[in-house]
Amino acid sequence: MGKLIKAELFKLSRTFTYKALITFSTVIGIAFGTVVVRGGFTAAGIFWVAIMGTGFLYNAALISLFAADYIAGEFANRTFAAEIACGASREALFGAKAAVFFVGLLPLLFIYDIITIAVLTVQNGFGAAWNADTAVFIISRVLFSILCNFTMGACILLAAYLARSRLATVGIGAGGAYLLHQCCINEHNPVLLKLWQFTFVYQMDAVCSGRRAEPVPFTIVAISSLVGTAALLGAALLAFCRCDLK
Amino acid sequence: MDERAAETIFKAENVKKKYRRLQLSSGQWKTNYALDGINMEIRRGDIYGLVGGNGAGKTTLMRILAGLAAPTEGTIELFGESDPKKLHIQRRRINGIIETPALNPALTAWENLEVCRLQQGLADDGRVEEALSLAGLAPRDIEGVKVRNFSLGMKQRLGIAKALLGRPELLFFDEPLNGLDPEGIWDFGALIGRLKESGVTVLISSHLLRELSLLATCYGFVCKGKMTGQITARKLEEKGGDLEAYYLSQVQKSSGGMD
Ligand SMILES: Nc1ncnc2c1ncn2[C@@H]1O[C@H](COP(=O)(O)OP(=O)(O)OP(=O)(O)O)[C@@H](O)[C@H]1O
Ligand SMILES: [Mg+2]
Repeated sequence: MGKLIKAELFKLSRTFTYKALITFSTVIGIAFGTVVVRGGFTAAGIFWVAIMGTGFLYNAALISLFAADYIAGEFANRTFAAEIACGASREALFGAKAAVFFVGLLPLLFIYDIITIAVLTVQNGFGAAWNADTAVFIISRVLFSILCNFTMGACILLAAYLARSRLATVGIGAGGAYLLHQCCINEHNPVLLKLWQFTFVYQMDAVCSGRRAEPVPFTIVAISSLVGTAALLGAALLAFCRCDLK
Repeated sequence: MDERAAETIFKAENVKKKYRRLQLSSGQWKTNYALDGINMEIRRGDIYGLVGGNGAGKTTLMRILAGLAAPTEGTIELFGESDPKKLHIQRRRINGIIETPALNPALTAWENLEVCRLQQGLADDGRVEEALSLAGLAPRDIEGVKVRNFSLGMKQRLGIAKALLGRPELLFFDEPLNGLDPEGIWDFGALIGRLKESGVTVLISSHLLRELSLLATCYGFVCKGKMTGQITARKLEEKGGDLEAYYLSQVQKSSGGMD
């Protein structure tokens, strides 16, 4: 699988869409930073650390565009088929693709937050003492957003493996995220709300919008994300191993 | 086919491929056998010409050989391996093009081949340049050009270069002459000649029977998902050497007409 990962990293480094998305994220981060500086925004850096990575629809759109090009594009170009035809096992190919997909998501999702945190810190200070508690807080927020976004990434990855078309991946990914988000924020039934708590949709919304009184405890986020991601990746692998390729 | 004493490298036994499709008019599932019990054998060193009409099942057979589709029934054997879970290991010794070359249009020719080289874990020993030159792509024509801007024939040539990169023992080409200009067709013939000399086995499907008859050392005739006959080029020569006439007689035979 090592050689497949090397090839995937090479592809990623040469992919125009990925570079364009990274540039877009950077530009949005800088633009937001400018708004912060000009607008007299008084929040300190730690405020953004607390909500980093939770821009639900923005992240869903970025991940969908990335998955459409990076995964569904392989079906459209028939390059998955070409790799299998000369001996790559479907399992190894899926593993390499998924690993590089998740690694590629990290800069894509966090550049914007890192720039914003830097601008707020320079402008208004960090807002917390540099001690062990702050370190634990930062690590827990970073882990929280990685877990939630990877679960969202796994959902969109599954959509890409099922749809096998760029347009359908963007449609299902971004459209599906919007619908899920709407269903979640409009849910008032207490029993169903309890169930929503196990989803990344609720978990991200609880932090970002403050609509929910209580953010979901970290252990629940960790367990539900890991189980959810594993199940979604398993389903995508099964779909990939069973499908006929053109 | 007994005069072919060499080792069997690909064998299909009673291979069937069934597709089901929902017919909207009747609301019923319709079953279609793309392959209906194919038996065939390719021996080392063969230049095997696969001949058959539209929809006969040639592409489906190649997709099964390449691992892109699984047979509904029957078995295939590649370099002596028939365990479906281990076939992919033997597929490292094959490569080819099915219908149109599979390329990443957003990358250049060199980048496409580099991805392929990394995937297969091949040494960086100048083989990318060698494959490009074997396929007749001049560096000055392709330098820095994205594949999306290639002509059909250039894409076909790049597909051939990609197939040759890992120096496979068995190459498969489905309609390789599509989109090639007369010079390209001649170059392809010369390339197959060179591969034949170096002992590479090639499976080619084509509707261009005259061109195919200049290359192939044996033929298999496919009709409606069945192999209606296999013959060596030498035996065909003894029977008059007219591939087109022989193919038409096979078609007649399979549709129950006079031999
Ligand atoms: N994915 C699929 N779903 C349903 N039917 C299919 C599928 N793929 C192929 N078929 C059917 O299987 C049959 C054989 O198709 P195939 O593409 O193998 O023919 P072929 O010999 O390559 O034809 P041609 O010379 O036109 O390329 C056709 O009837 C085709 O419609
Ligand atoms: Mg065909």
